[in-house]
Amino acid sequence: MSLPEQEVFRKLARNIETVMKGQAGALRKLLAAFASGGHVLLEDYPGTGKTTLAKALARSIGATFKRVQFTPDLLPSDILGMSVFDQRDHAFHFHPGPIFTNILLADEINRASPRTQSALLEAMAEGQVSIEGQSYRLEELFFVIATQNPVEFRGTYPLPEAQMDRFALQFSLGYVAPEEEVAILAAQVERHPIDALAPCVSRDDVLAMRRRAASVRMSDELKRYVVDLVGATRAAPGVQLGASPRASLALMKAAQALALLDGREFVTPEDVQELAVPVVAHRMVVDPQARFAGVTTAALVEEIVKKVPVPA
Amino acid sequence: MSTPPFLLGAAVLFWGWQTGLLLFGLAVAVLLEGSRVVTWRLELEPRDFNRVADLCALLFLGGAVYLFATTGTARGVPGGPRAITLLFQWLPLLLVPLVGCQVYSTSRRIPLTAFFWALRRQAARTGAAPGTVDVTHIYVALCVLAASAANVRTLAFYAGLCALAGWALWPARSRRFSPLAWAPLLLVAAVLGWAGHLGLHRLQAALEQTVFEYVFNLVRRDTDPFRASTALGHLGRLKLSERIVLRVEPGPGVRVPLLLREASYDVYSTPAWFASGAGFTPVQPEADGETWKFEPGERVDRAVRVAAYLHRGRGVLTLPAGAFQVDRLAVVGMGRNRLGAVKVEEGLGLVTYTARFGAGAPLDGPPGESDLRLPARDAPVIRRVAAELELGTRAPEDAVRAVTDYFRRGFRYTTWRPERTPAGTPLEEFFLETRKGHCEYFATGTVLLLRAAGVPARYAVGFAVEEWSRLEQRYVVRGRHAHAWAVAWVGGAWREVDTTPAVWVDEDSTASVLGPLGDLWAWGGFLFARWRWSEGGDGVGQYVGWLLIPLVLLLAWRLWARRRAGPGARAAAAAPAATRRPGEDSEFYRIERRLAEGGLARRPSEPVTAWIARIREEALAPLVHLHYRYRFDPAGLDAREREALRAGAETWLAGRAAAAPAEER
Repeated sequence: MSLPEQEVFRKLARNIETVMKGQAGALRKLLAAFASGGHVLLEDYPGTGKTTLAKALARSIGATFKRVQFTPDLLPSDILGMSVFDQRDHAFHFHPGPIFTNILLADEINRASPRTQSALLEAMAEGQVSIEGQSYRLEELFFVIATQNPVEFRGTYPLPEAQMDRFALQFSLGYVAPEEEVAILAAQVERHPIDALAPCVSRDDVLAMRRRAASVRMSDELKRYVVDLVGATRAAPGVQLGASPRASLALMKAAQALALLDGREFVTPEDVQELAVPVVAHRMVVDPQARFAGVTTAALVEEIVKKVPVPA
Repeated sequence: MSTPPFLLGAAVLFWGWQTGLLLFGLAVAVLLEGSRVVTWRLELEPRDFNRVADLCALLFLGGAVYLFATTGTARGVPGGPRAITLLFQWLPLLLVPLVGCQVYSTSRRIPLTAFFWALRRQAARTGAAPGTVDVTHIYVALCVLAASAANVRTLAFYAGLCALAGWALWPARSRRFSPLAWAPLLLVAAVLGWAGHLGLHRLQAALEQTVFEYVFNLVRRDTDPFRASTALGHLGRLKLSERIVLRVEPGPGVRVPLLLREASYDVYSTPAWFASGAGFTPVQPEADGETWKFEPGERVDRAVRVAAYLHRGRGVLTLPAGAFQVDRLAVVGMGRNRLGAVKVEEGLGLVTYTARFGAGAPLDGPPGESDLRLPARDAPVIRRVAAELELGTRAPEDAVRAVTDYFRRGFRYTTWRPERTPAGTPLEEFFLETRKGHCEYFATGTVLLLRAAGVPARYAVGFAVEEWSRLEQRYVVRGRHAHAWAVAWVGGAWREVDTTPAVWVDEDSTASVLGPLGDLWAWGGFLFARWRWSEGGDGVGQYVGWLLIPLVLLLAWRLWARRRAGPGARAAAAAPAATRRPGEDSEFYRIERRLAEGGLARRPSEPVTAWIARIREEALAPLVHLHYRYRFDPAGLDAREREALRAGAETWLAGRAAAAPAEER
């Protein structure tokens, strides 16, 4: 079975894979989030290809792409835009910021102050921004891909829980296998392959794919399974803050998109299980004692997935 | 009940057989296994389980009090250790209400709140449903533990244990392997277990021996059976304690004053007596664990009952001469040496025992060369006195009489020794100058004079029973009643020779105004200790058991009054809550069941695709896809696809059925 929308997926994946080698798992998650209309937070060590992945996705789509490098002195107006007084006609003119784009790469998002981080809140949740009392609609295709670096703590501001909850998925890339790394070296002997990357799908293709993903069928039993998984995070030991219903929603949508990616018209339990950790873990807060004991939210979610009986 | 059929009953019967409570075991087994037969169930709430658990705790406490009280009084000895063992043996019986409630309840599990007060409070506060536990397996383990407390050291216990364990493990065995592989493995485990237990036993014995020797070197006991320092040569007045150390009740025909000995010594080296070659050999108790015989055979003879304090549960027993048996002594270990000292270990703080004694002295070994040796320093004066008394020419009987007369004639008793320049050894002074001294002078002098006369003799220390306490209506022995005397080998038997003037007891008495008060206090302390070490009052504990009966009846009635329900009650109530799942009739479930029977069950949280990948049944993938569409696609399957799913499953099952006999061949 091959759907035209799945073909969009395939093309995207192939295109990105020419640049990102050995990251098929991460690519699946990124595309699932992209197709479900959620935003993505990439957390990994420097040099693992976070920015490259984001750029590769942006360049593969015939859409506008902006990049903001987050720094401690970045102001909300640097992202959203501001009105500037024009001396010729003695009036204020609105200069839109980089947020007015299709794909926004927020590089090293945790380096900006919480105030600036929060400027993204409304944009990510509602697809609009309010500047000086006026609301501006963003593009219909609006996708934020943020990166952050888990090693550095000096001069960083951890994202507030509300901001974390706005990201549909958080995942890391990890180091690739040695053979893949050799291939990466070989590919970049002359120039970076990303420079040769050309758009392979149009903006309309992407929007059609998103609509198709939203119509992937999901049985009530699996919806219940999603709710059970997310509900279990609220009762897990050592958890200060469990995952919200927004997490259930994001998990459902991402699972639908993943099903479409695999060429299915319905969601299976496998889709839900595959996405449980990237969708749910980053929304939880572990209490200090458990954190000190080395408990991570990802491990907690994995444990929950192993504990909650799966429909079969 | 989650235990395999009849495991619970078998465990209870095993327990009954091992502990000799077979009738109880039979009743309990019928009660518990009866739940498989009867169709009604009790609708019990957590509150009811709490009550039953409380009752069990009460039964346990009552049983403990009863056992501690009666194990002692029935036979007049402290029964602490034995009571604990018995309590262990009774444990399955005491827990029957709880287990019975579980197996006859609709929930088939016991809420954890039944066991923990904190959980009850938490449940009351938060209203959350408590966690539950199935106690039947724990109960089976307890039965085995209780059976082990009976300590029947036969192979039957181990065989029974292995059989029960096998029975319990049989339903949980891996279906992937044939039972023919399982049974030999279980057998190997049993044999290894047996070997391991023997090894552990040896290791423990070796370890105990090492530790014992080490500790023995570190700690000196109150009465050292190997060495007795005497106060020979001490200046000034001897300080003698008024503290009551023993309480004695002589049996009929026992004459008072009576000497109770702690130890004898055979080598004198001023100013101490030593026991040579007096290592201890263990004494084994009779079957009841409380009777200790030094000489085989039954004899009816005189008896004396002694209550003594043991420091840290260890010490040397005070026994009358000629003791051949000690009754009702609750200690764990006993040892004796060739000089008649008996040490005990791991007793309670206060022991009460009956010493049976008669003619002869089975505790004392025959005289040896050391019993005739004179110490070099004192030999001249002893020989001189012996020559004066012409002891060398007398028969042993005569020699003893002569020595006794000699001391009675010219010697006086005193614990006071004025300061002066010593002219020689303490004994020289005693014999030649002062002619005054305390019992240690007399006893040492007697022993050495008898040896000079060719009569083997030893130095004995212990207590003289003299003082009748009107307060306690029994004889009391104080620290100042400590005494020393000689034992002599006359006419082929050991005989006590006490040459100390009889006035010594009154001389030593330092009657104080506060004396009676002190005695009253000591008596109170004794009564408390006796109660504490569970010798028991006069049977209060016996009635505690009866008090429990109305409680049990009340609870049984309350449980019975609860609404009873048929076996399907809970299931029927729960049925509407369970939603109907689409695609429940998928034939794929038959495949899943077949694989589970082969030991390849899917884990509850394992998705089907991961499962078939794990068990290498990837050939099922197309069927899984159909099954998934049938189950999880709200659009479902059309008739043709539904038929394909059914047919595919049938084909697979048929192929498996054909392959199975081939595999067996």
